[in-house]
Amino acid sequence: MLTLPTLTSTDFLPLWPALILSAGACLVLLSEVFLSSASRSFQPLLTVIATVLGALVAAATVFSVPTGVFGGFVVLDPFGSLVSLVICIGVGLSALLAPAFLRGRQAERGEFYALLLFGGAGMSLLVLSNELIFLFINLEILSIATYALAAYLRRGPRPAEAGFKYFILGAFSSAVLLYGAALLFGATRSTLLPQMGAELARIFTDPTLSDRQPLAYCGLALIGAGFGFKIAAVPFHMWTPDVYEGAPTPVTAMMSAAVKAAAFAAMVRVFLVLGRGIPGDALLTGFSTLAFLTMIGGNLLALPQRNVKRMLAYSSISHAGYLLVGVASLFVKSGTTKGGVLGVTALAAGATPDTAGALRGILFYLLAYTVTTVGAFGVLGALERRDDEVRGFAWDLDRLAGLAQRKPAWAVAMAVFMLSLGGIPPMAGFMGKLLIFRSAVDAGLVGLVIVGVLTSAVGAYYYLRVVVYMYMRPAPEAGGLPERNLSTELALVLSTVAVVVLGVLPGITGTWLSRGGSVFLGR
Amino acid sequence: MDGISITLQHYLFLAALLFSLGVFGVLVRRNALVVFMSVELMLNASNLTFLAFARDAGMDVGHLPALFVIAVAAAEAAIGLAIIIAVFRSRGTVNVDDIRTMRL
Amino acid sequence: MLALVNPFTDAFPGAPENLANLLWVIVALPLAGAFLCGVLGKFMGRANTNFLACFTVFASFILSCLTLWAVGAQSTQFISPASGVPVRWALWLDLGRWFSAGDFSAHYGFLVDRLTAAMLMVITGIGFLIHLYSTEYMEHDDGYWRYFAYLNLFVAMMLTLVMADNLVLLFVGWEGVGLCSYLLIGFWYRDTEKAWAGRKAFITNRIGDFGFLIGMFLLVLLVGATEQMGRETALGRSNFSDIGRARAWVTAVHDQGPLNLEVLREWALRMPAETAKDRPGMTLGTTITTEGPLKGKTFGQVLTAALLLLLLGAAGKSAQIPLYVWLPDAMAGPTPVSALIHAATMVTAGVYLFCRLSFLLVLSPTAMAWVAMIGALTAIWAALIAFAQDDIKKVLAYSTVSQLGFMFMGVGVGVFWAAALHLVTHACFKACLFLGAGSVMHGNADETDIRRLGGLRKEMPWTWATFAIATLAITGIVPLSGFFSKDAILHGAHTTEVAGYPWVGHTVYWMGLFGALCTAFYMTRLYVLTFEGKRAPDARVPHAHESGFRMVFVLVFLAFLSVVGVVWGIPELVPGPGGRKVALMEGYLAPAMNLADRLASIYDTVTHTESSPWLGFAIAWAVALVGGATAWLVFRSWLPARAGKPLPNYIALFWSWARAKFYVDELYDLLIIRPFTVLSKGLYKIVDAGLIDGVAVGGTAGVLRRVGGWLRYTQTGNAQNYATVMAVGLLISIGVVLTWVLR
Repeated sequence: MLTLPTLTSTDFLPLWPALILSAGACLVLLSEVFLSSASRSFQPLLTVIATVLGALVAAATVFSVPTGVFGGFVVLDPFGSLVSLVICIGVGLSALLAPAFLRGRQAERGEFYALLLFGGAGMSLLVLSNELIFLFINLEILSIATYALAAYLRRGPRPAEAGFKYFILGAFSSAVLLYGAALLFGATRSTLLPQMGAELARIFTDPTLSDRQPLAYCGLALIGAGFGFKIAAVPFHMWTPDVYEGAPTPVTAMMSAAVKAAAFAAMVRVFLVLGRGIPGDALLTGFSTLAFLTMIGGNLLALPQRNVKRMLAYSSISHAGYLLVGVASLFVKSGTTKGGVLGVTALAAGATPDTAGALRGILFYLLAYTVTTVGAFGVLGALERRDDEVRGFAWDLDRLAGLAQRKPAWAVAMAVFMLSLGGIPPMAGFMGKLLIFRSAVDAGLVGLVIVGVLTSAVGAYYYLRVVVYMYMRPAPEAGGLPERNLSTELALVLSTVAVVVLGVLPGITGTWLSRGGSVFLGR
Repeated sequence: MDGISITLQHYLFLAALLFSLGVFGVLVRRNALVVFMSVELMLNASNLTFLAFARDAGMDVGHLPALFVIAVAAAEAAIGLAIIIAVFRSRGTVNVDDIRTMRL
Repeated sequence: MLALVNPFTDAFPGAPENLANLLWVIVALPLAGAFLCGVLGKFMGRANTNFLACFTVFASFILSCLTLWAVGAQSTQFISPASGVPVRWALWLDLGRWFSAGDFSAHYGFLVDRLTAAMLMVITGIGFLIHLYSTEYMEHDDGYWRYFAYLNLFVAMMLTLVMADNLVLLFVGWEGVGLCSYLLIGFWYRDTEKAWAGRKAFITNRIGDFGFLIGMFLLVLLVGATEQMGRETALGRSNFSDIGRARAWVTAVHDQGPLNLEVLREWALRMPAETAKDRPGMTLGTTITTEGPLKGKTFGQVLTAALLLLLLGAAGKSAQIPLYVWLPDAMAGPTPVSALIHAATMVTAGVYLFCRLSFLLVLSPTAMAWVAMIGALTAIWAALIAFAQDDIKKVLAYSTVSQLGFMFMGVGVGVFWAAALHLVTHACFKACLFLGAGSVMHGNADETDIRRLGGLRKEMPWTWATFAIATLAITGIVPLSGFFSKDAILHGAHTTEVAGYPWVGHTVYWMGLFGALCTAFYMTRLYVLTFEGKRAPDARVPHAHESGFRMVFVLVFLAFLSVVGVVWGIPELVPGPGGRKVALMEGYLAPAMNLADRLASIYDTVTHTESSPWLGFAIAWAVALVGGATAWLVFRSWLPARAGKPLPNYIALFWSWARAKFYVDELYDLLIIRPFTVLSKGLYKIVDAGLIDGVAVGGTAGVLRRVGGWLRYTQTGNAQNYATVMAVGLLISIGVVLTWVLR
């Protein structure tokens, strides 16, 4: 018989960031009803306060002991708290970019910030979900908020088109994921991840249950495809450039930073918990194939792009590839000898791969990528001119020409972001790549790492091209100076400082991130 | 026993068929609304799968996902239709082939 | 400067520890200068920016002098983290952990031993002079604040490179100087060709850096495998029988990180070469049995592979075959930049790296042979190409490539001190040459074609005098610094035998001698065409003007250094290790090169036969004279004679014909000059322009871009096509799982 659950305050601990973000969203919406005045400058402020509070609460739970709460539906673990923290940072920085952008387009309305916060709440819950349906609902919360945000502007055909493409393909991938969840439910007769993991282990060891193996594999593949869409892994990446280009730039920043971090973390959690019982190299092969394709595809596609916003979209694909290298190294089992696209060198019998180290690398990379990409899109957004935006010329490389003379500080910031994306020391991006590649080498994925290093050498070309345009091309005559805006510049300063500090002193995240290895794997 | 007894496999097969039809619709139909309806078909195929398995295992809790999915699908429909209207307003058509300003 | 002349003083005032704690300031000063110039330079105005940029480097220079003084004293020492024993004549500052990943960690640490101290003098000393020179050279350029920001940043990065106590931090400097070089080559970006030159430099360097990175990875794995085998195998344990010191090493591997230089030194001490058969325990010939990528290879193989990969990195940065092509193009940048970065400091980073890792290099004769042969080939190759160049900076660029080849030769045959000495002296005279060239350009409306110069001797007396001194120095005429440094390398090559490669020493010697001949020839040609004879009729300005005080002062000072640098190379001057009489530099660097020399002699990987250097010096001197004299005759007498007595004067022509000199001239032209011109032009065209520019640099980038361009068309903009790709991807993966995994 079902009994009423007894909930304690511990049960609510992990939910606080999401609760705060939702409350903030409700406040913003309410203010829209009661105050119809022209002055809306408090709305972004409220949004930022909500994200800061959310971040603080998330940070407070980083040192908790991993447990399941709410009957095992939600987890309280440092990994989830840290990703929530990263999400709050990403959403907060994106919100800082928004006021100037929206004011310039006469689109300042409270819904924007409310959607941003609701999306953030969905993301925060997504990484804490320990049950498939709960996970699906959270995925939809964040997706629906993002669909609406992508189509938020009503200027020209682009935002609507971006929203449409994102919506159709996103709904398609959600349906795929849901069908995968249904098949897995059929195989394991449960939707709680830890129970499913245990049941999967039984399916793969008990010969009488072997007829469920195809069901399990199909379910996993479908779920993987659903996540592959959200993290933009090749071949599920094709929406990325179009949507990133068409969406309002602060939204693009949020999508590439926070949404990606949330989807990655959820994917890692799902497959870590489910993957324990799966024998052989199936997961390793899957993830390393994805990583291989994504690194190569993303970088090659970015090479010929002159449209910087699209180039950054492809770049976000390639970064998903590097992150996938880290994910793949989570699934190397001790004693395995083959598998992966480019082979795995043998690990010593009895030696366990350093999962905690790999998770730490992934977390650092997510953090570094979040601050970098928000900054890069922030600079782009600040440079956009509305008349060109409708036709799509706003993001051509020429727009950045001579930026070093017109706006030296912005040029420095953009150069820092480009160097970080290119993985050039001493920026945060370099450190992230180093950590990820290091754990992959430890896990024996030498081939993948070589591909990663080579493709990031390719990447340096198109990132540095931006630097070249900023510093080594004359400014166009008719290039009016972009307007200054306090909150935009605050966001840029914060992310620049973060990128440099994380690159030069990654140690300051040490004690925090070293907690990231503890993931609640269920009882 | 004569006649065909309806077993779990039949439900699953029907669900798979619905799912495939949905995928097919998403891939080939040109009208954005129909594409969207095909996605709904896929969601319903998942629902059917959930229900079939839940009945087969005798788990009452297994029915809950279907309810949640219906709710989520409704929310998705709201936002989706809004977006499709926005597209129609900006270019006067909802043909998927024509919604391709951003490419390459 | 006193410290420069007499470094053997034993009295350093004050406690060396206090100085060690200040080491970071040496780097921080120019870094702060770069920041201030870059952010505030535009508002501060030209004079303030100039002052700030020069001041930070000069302050670094003062501190560097103090450290030089300190490491001259025996009482200066620190406790090595990897062995627990004191290291003398060196300062160390550990600023704490930078990052750690798994069992890998790296620290912010600065290590200054005598090798570093010598580099510090070059970087901050010559760096300051070039900053000073730049204040005048860039006085008409509006981008002065950018320029000084980059230049200061470069100094900071180069200092990081030489002071780093681990290879990871060294790599940061390595990449940093590459970035600054890229920014400065493309400084005048409005000219697309110059911007492209910057990119070419960067791409070529990235190829090298890739090798460097993989090499570092291999070293990390190597140290890790050693430690693991030392723990887990009986064989390995005997390498670590000295419990206390071994524990210190293991702790340091985890705390300081496997790429810490002290850790690597201790590793080299603990891993005997294959030849040391009587030693118990692991040697370099032992097969690695621990699981991992290295399993089944021997330690020696991995070490050689790592060193060869580092050689690729060094070849990129130091412009050696096959990656030398970027350096001549890099001359597109402002001339002081060419002097500082592309002659005196950055390009010597490869040589520094191998001097720094000398203790690893001597464990791998194969790697040494490669380094030496690459160096020798580059030395000749670049010298031949320099024959046919008419651009004053291009000649100097190829000359730099060639001289770097000499340094690699020195490193490859194990005379590290000679390579380091040549590095220092070359920095002085080549900076002087480049700045002289800059002065020539400054006074001749930026003319760089030596055929359209000439006769500058009287018009620019100071530039002429200093250029002449530096030319004599690089040619290797006796009382000047280039003589002993170059010939110390040649002598070293002649008397050295690398184990297993007995032919290397002699081959390198003869090639080096030929290279010296070529050097004398093309440098004299450059000098004659620029300064001697009459002013070319098609010169840009009728009269050149001498440069201002600041530029001339710097030139004179560098010329002075090119002369007095000779003190360091005079053989048999001071008592050295083992009771021999050695050159000042050899004695000075002995503490830094101590381990390499010891390992080389214990394991017989490098054998030096003792012999008097004087005969070899005489030969080298004669060679330099012959080369210089030939060029002088050809370009001072023969060619002007031919050009100056054209058709109207039949008698004179007949005279010369009658004296049979005309035939010789023609013969000379036909047999020597033309084949040489054709050959060197051909080398330049085929290899430089065609093969490497076209195929290696352009080709890879082109192919990748084309592939990217094709892939782009998959992005049709149609949402359904995207969904189809997703569905197909999904179907394939399910198909693979169902048919393959489940079978």
